[in-house]
Amino acid sequence: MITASFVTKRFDDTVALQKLNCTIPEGCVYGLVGSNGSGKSTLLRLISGIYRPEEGKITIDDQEVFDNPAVKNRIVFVPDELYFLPHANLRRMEQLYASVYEHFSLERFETLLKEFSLNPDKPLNTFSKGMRRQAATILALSCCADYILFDETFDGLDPVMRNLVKNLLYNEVMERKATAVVTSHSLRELEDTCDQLALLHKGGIIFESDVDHLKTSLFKVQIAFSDDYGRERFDGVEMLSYEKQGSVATMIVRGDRGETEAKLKALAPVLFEVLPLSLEEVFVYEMGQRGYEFSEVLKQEVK
Amino acid sequence: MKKLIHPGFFREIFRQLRGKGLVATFILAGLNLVFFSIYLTRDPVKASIGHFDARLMVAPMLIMLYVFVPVMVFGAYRWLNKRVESDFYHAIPLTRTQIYATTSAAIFLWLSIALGSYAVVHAILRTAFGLPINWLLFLCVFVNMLIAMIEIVAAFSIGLSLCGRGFTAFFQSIAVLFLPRVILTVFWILTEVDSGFTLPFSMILPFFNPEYNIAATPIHSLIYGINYANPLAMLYSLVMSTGLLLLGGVAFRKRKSELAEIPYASKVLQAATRVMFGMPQLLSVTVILNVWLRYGWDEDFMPREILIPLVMTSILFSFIFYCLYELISSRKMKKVVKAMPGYVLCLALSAFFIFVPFWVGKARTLTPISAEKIKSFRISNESTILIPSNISGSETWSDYVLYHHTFSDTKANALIANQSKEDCKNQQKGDEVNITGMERIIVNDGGLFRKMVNLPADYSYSLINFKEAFLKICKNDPAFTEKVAAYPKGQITYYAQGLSLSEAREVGRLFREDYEKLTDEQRMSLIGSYGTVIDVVQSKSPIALSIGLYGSYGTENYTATYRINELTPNAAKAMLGYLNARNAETVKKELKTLVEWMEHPKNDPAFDRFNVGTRYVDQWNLWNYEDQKKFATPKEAHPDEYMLLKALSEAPMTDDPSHCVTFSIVSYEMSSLTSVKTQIAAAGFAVDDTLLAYIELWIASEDSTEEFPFEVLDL
Amino acid sequence: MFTIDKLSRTPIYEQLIAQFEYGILSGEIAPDGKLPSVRELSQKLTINPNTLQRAYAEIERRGLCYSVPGSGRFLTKDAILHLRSEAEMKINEFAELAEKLRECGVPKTALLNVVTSVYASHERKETEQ
Repeated sequence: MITASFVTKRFDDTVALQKLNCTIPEGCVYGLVGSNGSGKSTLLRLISGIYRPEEGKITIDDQEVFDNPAVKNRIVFVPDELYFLPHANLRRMEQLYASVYEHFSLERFETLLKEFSLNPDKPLNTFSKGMRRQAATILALSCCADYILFDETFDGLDPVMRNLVKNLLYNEVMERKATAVVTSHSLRELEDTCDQLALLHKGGIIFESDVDHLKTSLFKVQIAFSDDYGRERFDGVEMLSYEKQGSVATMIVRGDRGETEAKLKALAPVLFEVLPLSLEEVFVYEMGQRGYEFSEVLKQEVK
Repeated sequence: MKKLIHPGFFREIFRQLRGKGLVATFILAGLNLVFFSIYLTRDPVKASIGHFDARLMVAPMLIMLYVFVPVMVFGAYRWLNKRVESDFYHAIPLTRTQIYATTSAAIFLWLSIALGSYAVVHAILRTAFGLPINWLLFLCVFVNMLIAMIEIVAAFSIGLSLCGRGFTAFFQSIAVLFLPRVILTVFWILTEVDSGFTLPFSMILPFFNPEYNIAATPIHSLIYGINYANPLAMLYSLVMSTGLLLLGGVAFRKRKSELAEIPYASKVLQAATRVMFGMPQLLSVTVILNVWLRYGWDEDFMPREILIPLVMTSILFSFIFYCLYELISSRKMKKVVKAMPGYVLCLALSAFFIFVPFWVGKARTLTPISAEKIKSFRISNESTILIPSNISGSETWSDYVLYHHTFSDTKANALIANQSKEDCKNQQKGDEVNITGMERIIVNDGGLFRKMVNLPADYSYSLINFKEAFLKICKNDPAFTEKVAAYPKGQITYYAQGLSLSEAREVGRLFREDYEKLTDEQRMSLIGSYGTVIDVVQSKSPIALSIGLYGSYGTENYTATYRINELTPNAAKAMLGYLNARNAETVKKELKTLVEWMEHPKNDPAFDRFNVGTRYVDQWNLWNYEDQKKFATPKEAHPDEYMLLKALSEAPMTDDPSHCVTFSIVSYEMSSLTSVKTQIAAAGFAVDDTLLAYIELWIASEDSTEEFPFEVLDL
Repeated sequence: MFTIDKLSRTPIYEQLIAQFEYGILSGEIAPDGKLPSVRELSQKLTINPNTLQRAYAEIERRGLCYSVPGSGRFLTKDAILHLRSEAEMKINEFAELAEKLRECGVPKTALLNVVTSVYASHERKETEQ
């Protein structure tokens, strides 16, 4: 389990992460969302032991990561900007990885090579961008690490490859209880892949939750009554937003679906509809709750 | 069980440095070829012993180290400065220390290979040319280079770890490491006027001895040469190198990995470099003040009124440079202002240089050595200053023996104690005590450190007295005489004027055989001039042949000349044989020409100077203004010479030393304004008693106390 | 048998449960029949195994399946009955809806037509297969 406790990271005068707390459990796919500059990459680099926090600790199973090869053996990091040894081919990369990563599996590597149909003797600088990303992924997966950190890796893969990599990741999660920490700009992508999500903004985690829980405990209700009514009618229902146009009220409700449905139906409405929300919408409303403008947070168009 | 040097990573880095390493290897090997060729053509004889011309053979290596080390270090650590690469190397499961140690090891291996290739090529060349190798010296030089390599690598690693950007790193590494050395060296040179003061300093604290830090001595060693077989220097340098290496490791470990694209200068380094930039301008003042302190003010040298303005100006310039460095490197006026109070460090350092050596020296001069305490003494050969590998004009075998012999004699002790008192008095008075000729005595009085006693100036009365007394002591020291009289040790090559190397070798061999049959006293008579300390026993032999030796013993090189005469009949015979075979015709012809000239003089520059027989004669001696006024021909002016020469020109050759006189002709030709070509021929002429009588008379008629009666021709 | 619409707003978890229910009711999954393993399904559909795990846990909780350690998950004999009874609970909702429609003036025949056509089209589908 990766634990970040009160982690602060400064670069010269800017504070990248401020007293950040988060817990990444074993055996899951953990997504990190956040705009550019929110500290995603910094957090990943802290976890992989590249940076050292100014304050606070990053530990894996209670052992600090920084300058600790025993722990680092269990982590592998695939950054957004890939780096390969100069003029190297996959063979040479494999040699280095195999010598430094304790659990590197040559068998695995060879199998993956075939699956991805990559030529290990060809120089990596002749590969296309997508293929380089595949190469990096193969190397990372062969390390048989307990924690695999993918910084915007999926964004560079075509859909077929994406599914292939996802299946491989799921396999890791199932077989070895590994954890994949994934960042992406696309919420859509993360929605499908991850079972845990965290939202990073201005150097802190403002949101950390189970994806399914998020999506099932938040829903949209459209309700109408023949008589006039106000918001007070819905006391007892946890609402994140409430809008009334004419006689129809649209609410975003948090809670158990069944219970809420029963409660509302008991009020005898003339119109009653429950709609699921997309993850984006969930975020919008959750952020709204916390006083953030979603567009400010994710710098995206709200659909 | 963690390995400090990770084999897999080592393999990778070693491979990465492959290109640079191979280039270094080939360049060093190539350089060797070039320099060796130069060396061989210039000095074939010197090369024939295991002589290792430091300037020619070692300086290039040192310089190459200064070129290749930064190339390698900056190449190997270039990833520190690029974010993407830095992340990669910091993410893999190796500790910082492992990365540093492994990278350093890879760099060392490549540089060792390059240096090794140099050594191997050198050995191959020597063997190919049939030249011997002085393995001990070779090894010493190689070890020196390795130690220097470690130090320079460590220095640049530190610079890079702390500073980031290559350029800044380069200059800061150089500045911090070598500027103190340079300043110390300059200071040492300038105050060497009386090195008695700095000497104890430099003996006790290796840091102050400019020759002790091998890597940092390029300037000093190029001027003064360096003794590559000084174990203390090697040990000190090794310790310093290791220290710097460890420091590099610490700096590397502490470096923040997020500094990949940001230059970063440590405050300490910045302050140190600032001070270094401010120091040189203060040096002049420092030296002046130091000299003033010791010797008092010399009004002739500098009027007193200048002092204050000079000091003020120096401080001003120094301060300006100090601030200028800060301005250029940080580009912020605010930082410059903040740095200003730190200037006090420069002043403090200067004060240190002014006062501390003086006080140390003074302390030393307060207590002269007492005769009873002296256990033994040696003559100092200042071997850290001499260039032992420079053959011509330096150590002879006798010098070698002298400098390595420990004397112990009560009379001598008294003498030395007395001299020590004089020395202290002189130092305290501040008299200008010029030490010329490097005569200095190292005394063992049972203390932890050896004490030094300076011998006064060459021209001074007291030195002559001292020398005379000392010579007596040396002569009476049977152990010393025995050593001097012993045949030189080590690898020896013979040379003789007019003989080929193989002929000389043969003569040398025979000479040795003859020599070893002689008594000490006889042997002493055969020793050529060895300097001011011991007189040569005069011999009246008509054979003025000599053989020269170049020797290489241990790590030192020496020269020696020995006379070949009737005491060494076999050698004489052999040599005469060779000479006659080669030169008889030429000498005879020359003699005939000379005789003819004496009968019919003409202004022929060929006769400008010649050495006939055993005496130096020139045209002027035989036919000068006075002669020309009085006499018609040189024959008339010097009938004795004429007769002698005529007889010689008709005499037969012999190689029998008992009835032989050697004569040689040297004629000079001006081949250009700057070079003189000499032609030398020598031969042995058979003499009967009459001729011999003539010659003896001739010799006796001229006497010179300055020169030896038997002149050995200089090369 | 199983398909997941990744573009739908409905969470995958809910889609899975719905698919199970359908599979059970339609008889595609036989009683005491073995349910596909988490691994199999995860790889086939490329969905997060944890999500799958939760879905399974949920239907297990509802009594629709049981797991045998070492062998896998199996449909309970009474699964269909379970679902049917759950569904039948919803008839009350239907009754309420019918009442509303009647209040609004929707004629009975219209309602009956709708029900008939729904069942008819389904029967047609069955005969076609």
